[in-house]
Amino acid sequence: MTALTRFQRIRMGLPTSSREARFAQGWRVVQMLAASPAALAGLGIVAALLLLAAFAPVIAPHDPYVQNLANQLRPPSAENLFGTDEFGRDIFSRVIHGTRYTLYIVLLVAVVAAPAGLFIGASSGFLGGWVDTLFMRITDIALAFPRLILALAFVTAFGPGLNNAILAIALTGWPPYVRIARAEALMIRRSDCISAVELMGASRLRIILVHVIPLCMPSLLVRLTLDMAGVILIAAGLGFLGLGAQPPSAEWGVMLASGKEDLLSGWWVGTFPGIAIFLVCMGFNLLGDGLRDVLDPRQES
Amino acid sequence: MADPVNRPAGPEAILELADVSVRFGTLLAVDRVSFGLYRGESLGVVGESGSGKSTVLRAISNLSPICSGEIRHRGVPLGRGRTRAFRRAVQMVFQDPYGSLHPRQTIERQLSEPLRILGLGDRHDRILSMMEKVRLPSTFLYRFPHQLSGGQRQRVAIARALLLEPEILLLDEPTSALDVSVQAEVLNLLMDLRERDGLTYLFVSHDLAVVGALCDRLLIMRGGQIVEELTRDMLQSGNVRTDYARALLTASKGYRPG
Amino acid sequence: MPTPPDQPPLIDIRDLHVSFRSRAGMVPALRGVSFSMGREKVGVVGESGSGKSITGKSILGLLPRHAELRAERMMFDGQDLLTMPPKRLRQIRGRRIGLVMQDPKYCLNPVKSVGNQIVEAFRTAHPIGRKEAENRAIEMLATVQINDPARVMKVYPHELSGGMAQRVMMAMMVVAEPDLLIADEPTSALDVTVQLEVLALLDRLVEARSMGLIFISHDLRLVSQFCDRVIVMYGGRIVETLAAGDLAHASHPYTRGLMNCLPRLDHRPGERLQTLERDDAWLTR
Repeated sequence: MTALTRFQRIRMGLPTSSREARFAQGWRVVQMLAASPAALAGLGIVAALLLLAAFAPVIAPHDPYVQNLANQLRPPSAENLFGTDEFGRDIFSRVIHGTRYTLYIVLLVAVVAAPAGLFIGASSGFLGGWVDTLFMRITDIALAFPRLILALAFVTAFGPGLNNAILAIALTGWPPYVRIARAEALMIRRSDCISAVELMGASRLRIILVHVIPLCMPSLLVRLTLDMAGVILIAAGLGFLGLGAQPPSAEWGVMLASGKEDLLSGWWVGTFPGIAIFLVCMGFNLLGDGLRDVLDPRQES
Repeated sequence: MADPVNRPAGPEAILELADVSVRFGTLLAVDRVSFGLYRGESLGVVGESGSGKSTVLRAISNLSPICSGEIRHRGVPLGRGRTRAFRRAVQMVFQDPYGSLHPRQTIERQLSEPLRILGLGDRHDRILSMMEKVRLPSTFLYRFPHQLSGGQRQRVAIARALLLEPEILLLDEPTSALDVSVQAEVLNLLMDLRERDGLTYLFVSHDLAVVGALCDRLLIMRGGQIVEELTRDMLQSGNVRTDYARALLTASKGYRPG
Repeated sequence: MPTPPDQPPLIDIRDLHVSFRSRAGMVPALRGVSFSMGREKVGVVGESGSGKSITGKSILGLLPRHAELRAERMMFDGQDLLTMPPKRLRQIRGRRIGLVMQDPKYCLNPVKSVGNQIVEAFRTAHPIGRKEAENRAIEMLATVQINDPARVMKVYPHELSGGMAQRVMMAMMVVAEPDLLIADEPTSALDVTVQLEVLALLDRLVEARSMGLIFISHDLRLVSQFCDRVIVMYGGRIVETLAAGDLAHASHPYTRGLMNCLPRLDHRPGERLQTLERDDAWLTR
């Protein structure tokens, strides 16, 4: 047994610790995802986003910010794969650098909205009573705010900028996660496995953190992935309106705005960032659908 | 219907219920029930659905709070919560082997939970020796519940309950959901454990034959009340007082055509 | 009672194999099951994983999509179920074969009243007017010993007790006058006193209409008391077939082991129950 490396043990389904066993479960999820072409495509796109964002300066052939007015509005060519914009900047490089903004938006919203929603929802569902009522009413109020309009309000109050836009999106984005976590918590709170832990004298906080929240994770993960497309679109929309990222940022929404000016004379300026947005949104959607099929508890036997 | 049978517990009882009632909304699930559980005995509680038998266990473990009456552990009345000492002394095994284990935690993690909560050390050694005690191979420690059969899950549930070294085990129909052949093994295990460790059982079941195998004394519940108390001898000789007990006894013998 | 010799057997199955397609490959559930029966009560006994429920579902064509079925022969009353077009199979399923399952609450439509469902079951099988179907439904509820059938017609499934729901289920299945009834653990979810009443009712229904009955259960003792013949299954195979009265003389070690590990009321204190020693040879015969 010791002759087998840890990775081999996991692959063969012979874990020797709980951590290895959990790793094996994760690996199985990836394998199941890989079985569906659509999910695999989604996974590939998201992976490509991560890689491009991480290695953008290395991969991009040109500097995205250097202007070259002699090269304005050149169509796609071997030198500039996606052509150049009205300032002579290479669009291909700008699109690649744009992945960093996209990733930044996605991560920030995920890190702010999802854990908060998860904890509030799980506590609300598990504890019930006045805590549940209070949190649900707060959630209802948050749900009533239209996202884009709140973003506009923030920008008006605090000035345009990517961070303010993300803040607005995150602050209005958590209610769905509260509801999902609460639904799972409601289902599980009367079950024997929770009763057993109560019988050991576990505090309610411990039960929520250690036992309830892990059960909410799959549904939450699916919802988060599917939401990412919407988040990217809103951020791009705000960038397009000039309320999110500001020029000369290589953010795709900003690039779309300048593309709008030159639609007839330089179709490539707006088209390629648009395709990038489309691809990434589709990637998240495909991945989210694939995750939902794989993480559905009914298929766990 | 005959008057309920509520014999107040003698002084040596380690667990006593005195006039205990549990209410769910307008329904009185347990209706002024009194009995005593004595050290080392195996007391059965038999009844059909809605009799309140499982609710009695939930009242003792405080999963369903009582609305009137008193529960005493070693003579000390229990308040609205349960102390650490009580949690160590009284543990429970649930009916559904599929619901009583956390679906996303490995067996090892679930067995270490009671030890973590109560701050007991030597976790790995205790868990290993407990797996041996319930006759499960130690390789099962790093599996998830869905990779185990029903009988194996129940053994894990028993192991989890015993890790805190309780003196009283509350058993809520632990074998009802198992195949007959697996049930026999688990019942034998429960008998072995009781003999080895001197445990006291409060065993709830709807099956008179199972109770007859495992228990020396039994209470029959109906509509939230205790309607009869029998010893094993009385059960086996058919020496029952109430019509309801007689009907249960007849029904447990099976189907008679005609 | 077995069928008279000039009539074809009600069910005639030879070498039935059912496997399920899964990520790990084909998982066999039935490995060569053969039996035949007439208008009699046949019990199919086994533990979980024995394939007893799959056998019933195979006859009804109710296997999930990822299941594969092949058999040398599968006939119902002389008609070949294997080559039958799906539409014809559906007709037979509704009219000539009925199914009673374990938990009626899962089979009864929660948003339709009881009467509605019985009427619908009847009119699917026999095209008659609504009023006449309603009268038949009330008659049927009375036959299954439901007091005040006219009131129960308007009741919804969640308002019924377990025993009553099971009777309603039986009424729904029997109203179309099927030739064969397949009951899959019909009383397992009921209290023991209610179980016996429901079984007695089932007995009367089956006898009165000369229906064949396949009674699937995990309870060997109950099946031997209730049925004429007992088929014992293990690991997707039939390991023994015997007349109900012959159970004491069972020859297969699994059957004997299953009987012996049952706790009995006359159990001696402190004595351990007999356990079943599984033999892998039983899986290969």
